[in-house]
Amino acid sequence: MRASAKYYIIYGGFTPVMRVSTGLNDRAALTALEMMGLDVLVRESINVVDVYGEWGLVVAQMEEREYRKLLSMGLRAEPEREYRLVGANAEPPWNLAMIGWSRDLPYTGRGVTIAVVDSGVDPRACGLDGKVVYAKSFVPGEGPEDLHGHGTAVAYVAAGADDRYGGVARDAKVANLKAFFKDGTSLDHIILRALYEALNLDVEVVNMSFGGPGGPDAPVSRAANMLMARGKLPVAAAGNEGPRRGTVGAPAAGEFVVAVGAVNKRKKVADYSSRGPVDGLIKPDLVAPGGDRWGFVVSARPRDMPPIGPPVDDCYMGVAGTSFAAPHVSGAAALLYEATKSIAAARDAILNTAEDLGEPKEAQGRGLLRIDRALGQTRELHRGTEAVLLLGLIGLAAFPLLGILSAATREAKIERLKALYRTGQITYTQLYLLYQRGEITLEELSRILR
Amino acid sequence: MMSYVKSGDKYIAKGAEGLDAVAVENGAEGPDEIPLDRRLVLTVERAEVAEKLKEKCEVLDVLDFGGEAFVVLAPGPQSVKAAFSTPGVRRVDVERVYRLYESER
Repeated sequence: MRASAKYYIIYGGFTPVMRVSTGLNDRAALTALEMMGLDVLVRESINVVDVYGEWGLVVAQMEEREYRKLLSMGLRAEPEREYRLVGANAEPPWNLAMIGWSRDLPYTGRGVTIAVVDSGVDPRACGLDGKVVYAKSFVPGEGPEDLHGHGTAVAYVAAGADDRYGGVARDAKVANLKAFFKDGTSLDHIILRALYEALNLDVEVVNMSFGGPGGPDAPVSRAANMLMARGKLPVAAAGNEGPRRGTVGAPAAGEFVVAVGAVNKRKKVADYSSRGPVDGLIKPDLVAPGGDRWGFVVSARPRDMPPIGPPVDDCYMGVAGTSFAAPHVSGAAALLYEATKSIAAARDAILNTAEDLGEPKEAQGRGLLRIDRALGQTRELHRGTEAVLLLGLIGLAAFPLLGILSAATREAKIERLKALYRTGQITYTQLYLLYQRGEITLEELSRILR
Repeated sequence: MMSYVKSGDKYIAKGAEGLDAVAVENGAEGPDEIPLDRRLVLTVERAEVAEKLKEKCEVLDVLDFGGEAFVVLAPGPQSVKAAFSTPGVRRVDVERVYRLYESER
């Protein structure tokens, strides 16, 4: 049976025999079909899945042309209908709808793991059942359980899998790297250990919904940068210190870290969302739904814990802040990684397709995350293999560029690359590939991006 | 008591030869102002620098991220002295406090 075959319901006569078959080899099923007046299905070699004689119904899997043929023969048949659990929302919640998420997206984050460096994640929380594939605490004297509530809510926005509200990457897994005390604070040495663990784990995205003082040179910013060099996308909350300028801290200030500010339900950058710039870098890099008190993001709350925001019921609570904007981007990155198998391509797609909200760069960065647009862009890239992608990017742009510059001094080359990047003639991905190929150093890459 | 030579925004222990200059970050104006109850996070040119530091003070962690290597020192005057007198130390940070960007309640 080809993948295009779908399930159909075929109506027949009622028989007193209730029989659920596993196929036409079943003698009782064949008899039931004859009694229902549906023996034509046998003659047409239709793949009958189930026969419900007492209900006068048959479930069959077939191609559309077979279905049309049955209709032309006078049978009553129809494609199976879609049902939802009572109480499930037919439409995605506002935060997911705003970023172009829908149930029809072709990617769900399958095969991708998001590390959540936070207060812990409760694997028993609604929507997180079976999600947490790794858990480790770096907080002295505490296990990986979430004693605060923040980390569970962050994980749910990124990867929550229930239909009531749900997260962005519903088939992605979560690695719980607990690095925060129950009072919501932590220290450099604890976070560095957690990031080091992430560096050596099989994860593709690292979500950091926290911050502290410092710019791109702060140890945590630089450690987060190194994740990118190892093929893991660092995503950080920009901070809740807005609307003052220059309030994006570490690790969001890292050059390679995707810093995420927040918009409210009215699609405006939230007052609290931290503003750039940082040391000449445009920060935040983009914005995503973070909500505010007039429109919260609904997320999961840990079991046996008081909610950290307005409770919805025993499962959910309202939350707001750039902490919850960041995991929208982490979830999107999981979808894009599934599509492209490249963290650099995922990052570029996210940034290049952001929707310009018309607000200042230091507030919105590139604009609002748009998953639908980002996946649309990667569909073109996805036609080829990663090798083709690399050859295309390097071959078309970087090789001639390096050829022209080969006689120039290294300093001139860096300045030239800087100018090309600023004028949009060379992309982040191309620069990143140059770094990966050893053409430029990490320090030079940092300078170019500033 | 150790004294330090300042060059621009860099400091090294006075009399220590052949050192890389190191900078003090996170609020302290110079080595003398580093609070003695806070851990230090050192950026080192390679993880092996930690071996020299271990001879002079308590090293809590060595984390080599491949391109960036960090050494965490226990609080105290020995750590401050070691940080500013050991070749291969590029930068000294007083440990920062981080916060979750909590929800509006």
